[in-house]
This record gives sequence, structure tokens and C-alpha cells, in this order.
Amino acid sequence: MLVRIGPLVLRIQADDRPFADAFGALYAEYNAAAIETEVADITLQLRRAAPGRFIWLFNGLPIDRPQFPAELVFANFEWGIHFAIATSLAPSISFHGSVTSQPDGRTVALVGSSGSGKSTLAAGLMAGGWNLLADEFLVVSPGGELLPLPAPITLKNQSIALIRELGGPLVFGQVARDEARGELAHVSSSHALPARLPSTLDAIVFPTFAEGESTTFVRVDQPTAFQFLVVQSHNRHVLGPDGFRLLAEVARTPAWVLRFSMLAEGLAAVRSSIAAPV
Amino acid sequence: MRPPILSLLSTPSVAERWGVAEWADTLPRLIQAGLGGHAAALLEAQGVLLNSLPAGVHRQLKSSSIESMAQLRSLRWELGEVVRALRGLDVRVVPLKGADYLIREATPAHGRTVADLDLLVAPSELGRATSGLTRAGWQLLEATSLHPNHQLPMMIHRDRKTQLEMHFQVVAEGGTIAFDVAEVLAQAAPLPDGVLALLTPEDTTLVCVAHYIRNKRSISAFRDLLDLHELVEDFSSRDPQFGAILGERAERVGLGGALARALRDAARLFGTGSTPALYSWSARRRPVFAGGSVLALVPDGCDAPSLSVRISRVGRMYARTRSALPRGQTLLLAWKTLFGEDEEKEQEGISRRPSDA
Repeated sequence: MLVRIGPLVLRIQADDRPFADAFGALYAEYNAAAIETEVADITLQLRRAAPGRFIWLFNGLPIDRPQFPAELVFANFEWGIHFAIATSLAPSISFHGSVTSQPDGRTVALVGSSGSGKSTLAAGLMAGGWNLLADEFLVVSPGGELLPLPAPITLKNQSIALIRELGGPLVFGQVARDEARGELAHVSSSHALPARLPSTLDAIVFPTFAEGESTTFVRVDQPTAFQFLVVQSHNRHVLGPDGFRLLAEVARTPAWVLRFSMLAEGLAAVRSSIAAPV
Repeated sequence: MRPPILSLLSTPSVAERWGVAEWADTLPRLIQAGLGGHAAALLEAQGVLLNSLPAGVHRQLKSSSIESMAQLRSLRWELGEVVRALRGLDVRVVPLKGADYLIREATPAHGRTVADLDLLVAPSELGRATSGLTRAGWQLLEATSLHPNHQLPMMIHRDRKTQLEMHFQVVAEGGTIAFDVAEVLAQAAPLPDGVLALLTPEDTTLVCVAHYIRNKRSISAFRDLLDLHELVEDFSSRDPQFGAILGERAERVGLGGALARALRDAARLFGTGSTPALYSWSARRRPVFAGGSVLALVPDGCDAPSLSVRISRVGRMYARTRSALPRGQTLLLAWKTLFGEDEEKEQEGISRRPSDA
């Protein structure tokens, strides 16, 4: 089957019923069956490597991950998606971040390292009716346009129960246990994305989950935002001078640093970023 | 069936007439072989605009091309750093493979994927060279039991994490190959920086041949053969006598049979060896034996290899291992190669996609 993730077309070959079911439920919004005439960017193939153990092949080569049991087929599929994005969009600059939009189309990127709380915040916003435009990758084209890459979001450990409690229009995949990351669940929205996705970035929030601390939400200037973005950029060094120029352009977006331990307060702060006068 | 990737790499303009089927077969093979950036360079050199290709192909080739530019930029920088580290130490350093192709702007360097910097120095200058590099921040890793006997263990720069391999012989010792490193270095052409020197075109070609013959079951063999094809075409177009000189030099260093074999394989895949001098030398020289069809070297992409390709791989494997393994183990390997997953590809993994070797 072919799947479209933003501009990318992925061919998925997996003869595994549980995967097909999980995929069908979570990727209902992204199935690109109508594009059989396009050349897929990347082919991901699920292969049985040993009895009860699987691997994903990326364009025919195994992804450099340990073999995994059937219940982690979907969790490991996510690595394939990330490889596909990371190796396919080089003229664009990409950062470690999630991108969400309000129903009116205004967008906020949550940029930070693993464990900073960005996926939890993004899922919390989805529970409140926001759209998820990208998980793990904030991508900006050479022309300065936001490139949405909508795909299900990955929640880990305590975040899963926290987001379930919020309710809202969310579809949860099966919870699986990964030795390195603990419990994992993929979440997508049950409502359809708008036909035309936003292409401008209105705010950037750099979150840090800080256990036991009270919430602080501070506006940062352009040079500070630039420094945060340098750290979180995947490929600025690959793009050379164009990467530097693009990074400076992204840093012009109004930006905030958020430290939080209470999800409700963190969500309120993120929402205020696009309500605040610039 | 002859995979369309072979036509693309030898006659890139064919892509202008391609549809979805040809690209769907070829694109994963190119990416698997680490040749996306190179294909982009070949197409652009033929005036084929990347943005005229299907969107997915354009994105992948453009992305690979940008990645390659960054790697080549880094390689040039590292070469400059090596020169700074060794200037004044009376050391002559000869870049090999990717770095060699890059300096001489040979076709294999265009859009190339490179992971490390390979350098050759005389055994007598090895101490001075490693001292100079160590002072400049390169650190020698510990040797493993699999470490080849013609180079030092990998050096990694403590700050930049870039990799450098210091060779003191052209190829691993043993067999009939008799590359005299002193002669190779003496014939190399010094560059104005006072440290680097360029191999003769014949030695550049023979280093490539030696690498192909040594690694012909590895996933990088396909690119080695493409390198050879492009080097021979480049050098022959600049010097009509290149073929004759190459043949003579190969015989002298014990690589005559290997060159004939590699040229025969390259001709079958890419149509190499059309110059009269090389053709006449090849016709006289008997290639060394290595079982199996050369089509078995073509990356599989996302298709399972055909039975004939699997049988060829068994032939190659048998030729390589018959003296080293007990018969039972050889049969087991043969069974896996014919009917099992491609063991070698699994070991290679995506993080070890063919990069520069």
C-alpha cells in the first residue's frame, strides 16, 4: 500500500494481519490509495528474521535496530517513517519538534529533545481539538514555508494514561513495551485534517518537563531562539550556508521557553502563545 | 532480465524516456547502493533536469545530492587539516579512493557518498605521520582481530569525530599482488601544498581494481565496478595510450588477471573498455576465475533476488570459502544464500549503507 506523509509517498509491504489492522486504524487519514501512479520515495518492508522476530527493511536494507517481536511491529514502523523523513527532505531544514494547529489554522511548533514533553503537549492539544501537523519533525522549506508531515504521534509511559484521561477525539493504538523506551502507544485524531494545511509557523515553544517545578513561560528574543534551534536542528550542517540562512529565518518566529510539571498549565501556556500580541 | 539501473548509470539520458515502472525498480537500488547523489550528478551532466523527473525521484536524488555535497565539503576540509598537521614533517601522503577522485575531479567523485579519508604513506614515514596527526587531534583506535595487515587501525578526530584510515601498503599482503609502495609513492605527482601527492592514473585505477577483487562479495562491489568503469572512461578520453600503460602496469604489479576480470565484469554491466588499446590488452589476458554471474552484484532494491542471482552468489561464496570452511558449513552457507534471507545485507544494516571505501 502507498501512504502519503506530507509530500512523501511511502510504499509499505507487510504481510502481517495485526500490523495491517493497527495501520488501518491509525493511518485511516493518510492512506494514499489514489496515487498508485506515483513513484514511492521509500519502500518499507516487514520481514520475518527468525521465528517470532521481525525486522523492517528500508529500501531493501535492514534498519539498524534489534529484531523485535510481533507486538512491536508498529512501534518499530515509526523508525522507518523517521528514516524516510530524515533522508528525503534535504533542501528543507528540519528540527526535533512537533507541530500543531488550532482549528483556525494558526500553528505552534513544540521544539525540544526527547523527554521534554513536546509529544505529550501536542497530544493534549489534539485532545482539545487541535490538529497534529507533525510529530518529531518541524520541517521548513527553502522558501521558508512550513511543511506539514501529519502522522500518528508516539506517547510513552505515564503520558499514555495522562492523555487518555483528557478524552477528546483521539484514537489510541495498542500499548506495547519496548526495552529501551518503556511503554509506547500511537495516537491519532479521529477527525479529518483540513484539505489545505497551514504553511506558516506562528509560534515556537521550547518546552522542558521539570518534575515538581511551578510553570514558567517566558518570551525569548531572536538570538536566544536561534541558539535553541541550532541545538535541535537535524541537518543545518548538511545544508551549509543555506541551512544557516533558513535557521535565521525560522528564528524570527515569536518564541517562548516553557518549564512545566502540570500538563493543564503547560497546555494553557502553549495556547496563549498564539493568543499573545506579538 | 537486465535491471534498468545499469542503463541509467552507463547512459543517463535514458531516464528522459522512463515511466513509473523503471523508476520504481531503480530508485531503491540507487539508494541501497549509496548512488543517489551520483545518479543526480550524472543526470545533471547530461542536461536532465532533476525537477523534470517524478516527484519522489526528484526528492530522493536531490536529497542524496545535498547530503553528498556536505560529505565532500567535509572531506576537503579534512584533507586541508591533514596538510596543516603534516606540513614541515617531511611526509608525503597520497589520498586514496574517494579523496583521490575528489582531488582529480574524476567522475566517480561527482555526487559521491564518503564516510572516511583514506591515505597512503611510506612505512618509513608512518611514525612521523601518526605523530603529526595525533598532535592535531586524531586518535588511534585499538586494532581488532579482523584488522587488515595493510593499514593502521582507524583514526578518529577527538572533536570532529571524522574518520581517517592510514594505509602503509596499497592492498593487504598475501597472494600474488606485488604493489611496491615505494614505487607507487615515487611516481605520485606532488601537489603544491607540499604534503599531498596524486597517484598516477594507472595506479588510481589499479587501487580500485584491487579493492573490487578483495570485496567482490560485499555490497560495495557494485560501486567499485562503476568506479572502475568511470575511471577507465575518464582516463582513456584524456590519453589514448592509457589502456596500454594500464595493462602493462597491472602485469608488473601482479594485478593482470584481476584487471582483466574486473574489466570483463565492468564491460558486462556498463559497457567499459571500448578503447582499442585496452580492448586489445584485455583480449590477450585471461581473467582470474570467480564463479557466478556479474548480475549478482547489482543491488536487489526491494525485489527478492532471482534464483539465478542466488545461484551466482552461491558460486561466488563457494569460490571464496571452499578452502577455508568444512564441507558441511559450506553447504549450510549455500542453502542460506539460496533460500534464506540475505545474511550479508542484514549484517550491513542501514547505518552501514555503502559509503566510501
